Amino acid sequence: MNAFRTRWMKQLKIVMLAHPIAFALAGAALCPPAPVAAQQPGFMNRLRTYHFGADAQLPDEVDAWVHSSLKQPDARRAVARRLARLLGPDVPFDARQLVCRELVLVATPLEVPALLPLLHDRQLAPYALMVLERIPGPQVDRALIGEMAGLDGDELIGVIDAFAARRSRLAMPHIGKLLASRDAQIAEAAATALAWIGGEDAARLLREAVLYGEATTQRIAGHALLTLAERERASGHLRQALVCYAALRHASGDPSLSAASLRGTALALGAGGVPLLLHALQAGPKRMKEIAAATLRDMPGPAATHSLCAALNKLRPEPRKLVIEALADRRDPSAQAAVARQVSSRDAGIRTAALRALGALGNASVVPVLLHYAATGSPADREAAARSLTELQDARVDGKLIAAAETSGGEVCLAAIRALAERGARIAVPFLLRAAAGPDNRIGLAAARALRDLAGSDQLGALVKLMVRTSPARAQMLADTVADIARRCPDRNVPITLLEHNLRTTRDPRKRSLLLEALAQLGGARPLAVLRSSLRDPDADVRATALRLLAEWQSSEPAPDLLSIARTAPDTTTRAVALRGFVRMVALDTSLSPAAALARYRDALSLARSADERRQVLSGIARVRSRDALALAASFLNDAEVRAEAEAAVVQIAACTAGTWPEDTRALLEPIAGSSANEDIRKRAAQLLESMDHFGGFDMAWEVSPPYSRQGVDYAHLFDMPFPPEDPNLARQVPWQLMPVGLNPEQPWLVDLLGLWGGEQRVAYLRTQVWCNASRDLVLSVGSDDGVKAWWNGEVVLAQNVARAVAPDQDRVTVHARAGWNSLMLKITQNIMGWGACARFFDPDGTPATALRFSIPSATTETR
Amino acid sequence: MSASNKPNARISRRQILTRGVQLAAGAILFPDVVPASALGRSGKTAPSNRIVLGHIGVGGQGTQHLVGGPWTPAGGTTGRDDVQVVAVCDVNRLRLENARKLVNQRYGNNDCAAYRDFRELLARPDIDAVLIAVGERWHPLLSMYAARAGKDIYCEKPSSVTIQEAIALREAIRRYGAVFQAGTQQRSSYSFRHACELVRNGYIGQVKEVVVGVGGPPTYRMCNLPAEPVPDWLDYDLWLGPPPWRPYNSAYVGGWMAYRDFSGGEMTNWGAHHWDIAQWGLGMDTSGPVEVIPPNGKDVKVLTYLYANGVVMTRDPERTAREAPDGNGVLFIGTEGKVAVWRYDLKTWPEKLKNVRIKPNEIHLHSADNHHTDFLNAVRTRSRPGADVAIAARSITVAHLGNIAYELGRPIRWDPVHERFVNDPEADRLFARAARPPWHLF
Repeated sequence: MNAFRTRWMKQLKIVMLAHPIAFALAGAALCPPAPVAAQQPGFMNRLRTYHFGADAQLPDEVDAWVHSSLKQPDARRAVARRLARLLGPDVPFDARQLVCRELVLVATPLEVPALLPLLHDRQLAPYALMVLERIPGPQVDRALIGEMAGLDGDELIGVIDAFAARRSRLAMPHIGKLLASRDAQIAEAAATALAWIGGEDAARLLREAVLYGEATTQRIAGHALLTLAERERASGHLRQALVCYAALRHASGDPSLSAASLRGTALALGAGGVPLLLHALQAGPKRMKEIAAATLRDMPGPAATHSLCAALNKLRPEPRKLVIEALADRRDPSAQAAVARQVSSRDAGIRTAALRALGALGNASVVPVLLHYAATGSPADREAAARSLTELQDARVDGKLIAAAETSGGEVCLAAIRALAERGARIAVPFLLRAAAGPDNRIGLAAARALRDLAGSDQLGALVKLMVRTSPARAQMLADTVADIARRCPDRNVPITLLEHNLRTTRDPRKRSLLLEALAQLGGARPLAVLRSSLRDPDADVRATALRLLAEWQSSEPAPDLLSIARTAPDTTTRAVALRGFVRMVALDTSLSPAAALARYRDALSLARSADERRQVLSGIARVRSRDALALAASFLNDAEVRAEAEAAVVQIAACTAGTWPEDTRALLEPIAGSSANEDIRKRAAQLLESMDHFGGFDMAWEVSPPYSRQGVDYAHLFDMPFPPEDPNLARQVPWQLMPVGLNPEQPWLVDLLGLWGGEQRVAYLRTQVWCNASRDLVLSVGSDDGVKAWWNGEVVLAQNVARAVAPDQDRVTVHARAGWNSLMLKITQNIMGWGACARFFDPDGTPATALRFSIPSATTETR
Repeated sequence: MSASNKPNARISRRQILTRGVQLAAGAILFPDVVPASALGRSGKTAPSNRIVLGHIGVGGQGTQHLVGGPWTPAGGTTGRDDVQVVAVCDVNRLRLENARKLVNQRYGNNDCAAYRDFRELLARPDIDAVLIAVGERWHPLLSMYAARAGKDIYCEKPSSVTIQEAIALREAIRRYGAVFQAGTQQRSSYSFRHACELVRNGYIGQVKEVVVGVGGPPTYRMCNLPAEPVPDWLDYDLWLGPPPWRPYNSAYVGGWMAYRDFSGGEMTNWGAHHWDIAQWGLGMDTSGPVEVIPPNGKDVKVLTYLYANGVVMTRDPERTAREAPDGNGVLFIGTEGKVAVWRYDLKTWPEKLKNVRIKPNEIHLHSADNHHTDFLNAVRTRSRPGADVAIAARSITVAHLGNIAYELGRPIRWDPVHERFVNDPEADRLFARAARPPWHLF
């Protein structure tokens, strides 16, 4: 029991050191409660000497104490008083900033004298101002005004900002004097403060500065006056706002200020401001045009819409186009007629903009004109009209489109069918089924395509019937339609039975092939059985289709069939299709061990007769992470026909072998980096070699587990959730694989799990073997992103349940190594973004550990 | 950890991309990830018509924006032929140099400028827009400076650390007529849009409950780590920006999201995504909850929001994990069905809802399938992108309200019309926070 308790306490200590949240929670449970606010708390002496990095729980204790006082005015005042005593110069910065933070909620005017001296301290002033800004009452304003004379620079700016935050009218005369300060930052702070405080006096001070000040003052005061004007306008004080905007227009040389005052003026004038905006659109500089175009959308009311519509024909093309776009965004349907008239414009930009705007503004009456342009317009007009047809909101639009499609032929009918499909108009299905069977091939195809989106399982029988009777092109389209609808059926057995039945009753081989295509898209055991039996179909084309569909099957299930065909097929094409499918399926089967996958690739290689086929196999070998795969890929380096692919495969596998077998890997990479004919391969080989040069003392020989997660459990909770690698009963079943390393020359030491697995809220394990020349103590030094738990020879030695970015040596722990091989396993948690780790060893005196070797468990088993 | 606070993430993601291509190609060599046409070398878009872009912040997420990654649109901004990236900016010299090299490699020239100080980049009149991907301590101010300089802005989430910052940001963007896209991405995703359209169009009946699966407030209320020497590659003062000064520690740079001074934690990190979707589905883009109740260990087990229309929203990742296929997402519960949505997919009850097509005469939400493209379209047409600043401000306010309720340990009432607390001087004290001079909102 004692041993258990000691171990538990040790674990708890690790976690507590590792995780501030855990520490705080545990602290809350184990420590005495925070003192009642009215009492003198026990931590005052600790607070007086507090410094960053020490006494991690003190801020929470102080905070709890302050919060406990909030409901009791007397206690609250007492807390504030006690805290303020710690603001003297004998108390360090670290403590005083903490005190100020806590005073934000409880300080009263009584604490102001203690806070004022802090305003003269550049680092503490912002903390004091945090508090002073929030204490109500004119005493604070008066005290701050009294301090102003002794302040300059940032400290003075801070106080001016405080006046702004306090909306201090008392301070306004003092602030006004600073508008002309030679220090532009002080002048700017003063102007901004006046804008925040607002009112007629502030406006007057700013207007005078704008109209009569020096250039810098004009600009600074101008921006502040704009702010003030906007607030006046928002409060409904339009006259005052317009006076400010007028001053700005007269004085400003700043283009963004001029543009902004135009906007404000127009909005304050309402519809009467439209001419101002239109004039700017026609004749203003770029910034003015931009702001005018934006403001057109913000002008409220139908009167503004009316003014804009009335002006359309008087505008030059570019501004007219901008106004039409603005009218569309205003969504005022009263603009429909005026915009519709613009469709006849000779200017392509205006016409397209009008067609596009009708989608937002029009009703069913614009369907004919939109259909006309969707059918016969320029490419831009077609696109604009088609999108508008899709967006029209009038409930009568679908009916109008169907009527147009039934009575028109050619492009108009096609445009109507496309629009009906885009609109999701299921009411058009009967018409579309007729059109799909009709004599016009283009319309038939378009209708078949539209049925893909609109038809439901009720129409499946009719569609299959149509498919086996119609022309080959239309039948192909209908096959896709049938497959799409069948996939949406809740019970796939229904469409499968339907397709099987038609396969049995259809004689035309081309149609039988199409039925197979549709069936294959549904997946599952029954379609697979049909494909297998179709390999014996009397018709060669049907057999070829069945083989192709097997080769493209969505799982690796047909792999044995394909290998058998590749071995025995008499003709080259059949053999090649089967072999390609087999190679594809080896890659699909993620349950295969590297050795098993490699054995299958060797089978494939034995059947490969052309360079293309060898290339295909090499592309699969490149994904196998093993020393044998590296050797197999390397054996093709002298095959001139596939050398480039062999080099690429070697480089890809080398990332996995570089950490454990650096010499072998380097020997293969160096010639590739030096002489590959392909620049990209050369670069990648050189990059990996460069990374290997900088592995330094980091352990780069790792095997990695699959990622593990639990639905709804985040990284912090996964940290202590055991997964198979740490479960003795399941550990043997973990499919460990070689971890690629060194892919990032900027962080060559990083074991990058994000790059390998990606994802969020999950964990993965890394394991390695460390050979030590003698029994001795070592310092294991780990970096991780995010948390890390480490097992050294099976014992937990480190637990850091954190969210962080990785850097070398973030955690160090002393471990005892035995002579020979030692095991190390890391569990790395993933919150979001980066995910990885690094590890190395030091001797207890801090020097890099020597006489160590790293390997992976399977390799050391062999070595031992 | 977050997309943008992990120094190694950039490299890892890039490796995935490269490796993915290798695997797809099997042993058939290693093609370029981005085709030449996507690099603007095919002459598709005339250079004069390209939007000239500067990137501010080129760490993990910022680099993904440059070159593409799993968390950003494929190919990144440098993979588009309608954009020209001319400048990058970062206070971290190593990242800055790396980003400059990446841009120059993509374009095959040496034209990309590199700046340590964002003010120099913003002063360039040739830059139309900026992509900001730093920490949220900087997001509002940088965006405001950019708007004032006449730039349009794509800014990563979260958009602020306080409610006041979110409101000030919205006002400044409107004031200067800038286009602003919050990098929340999910509004440019079919699954999220479809889920919200199902909810908005009544396919699950009347919405009663929304369960949001996001993490909580920052791990640490205070930065309490010991001082370390500031590395020579970092401008620490500029890195720190508006938060109050404290001595440098490398953990801040690598993991700022864990600290309240710099961040709202997961409440705002993933919350910027999922609270946003909850608001979208509820049709609350211009409003918000009226009361927020933190767990009290008794009858209220999880953070709970009440909306004026009676909808109850909770932060309950365990429940989303239990009831939906992925805990990190949003679950809408109505009188006639449910919709769960998360990154990559959605699930509906009944199942058939998933394939429902929203009819033309139903509510269609802003439609986009690429968040960069959506932003750039808005820049060209001067319209509003899907994750406009007003939407972002409302969504991040939901997250901030939650953090404030946690902080105070009691219910708070919120007036979503006037965007202020209801008779709550204590909560008022947490509405804003003094910035370290010379930085301040304007």
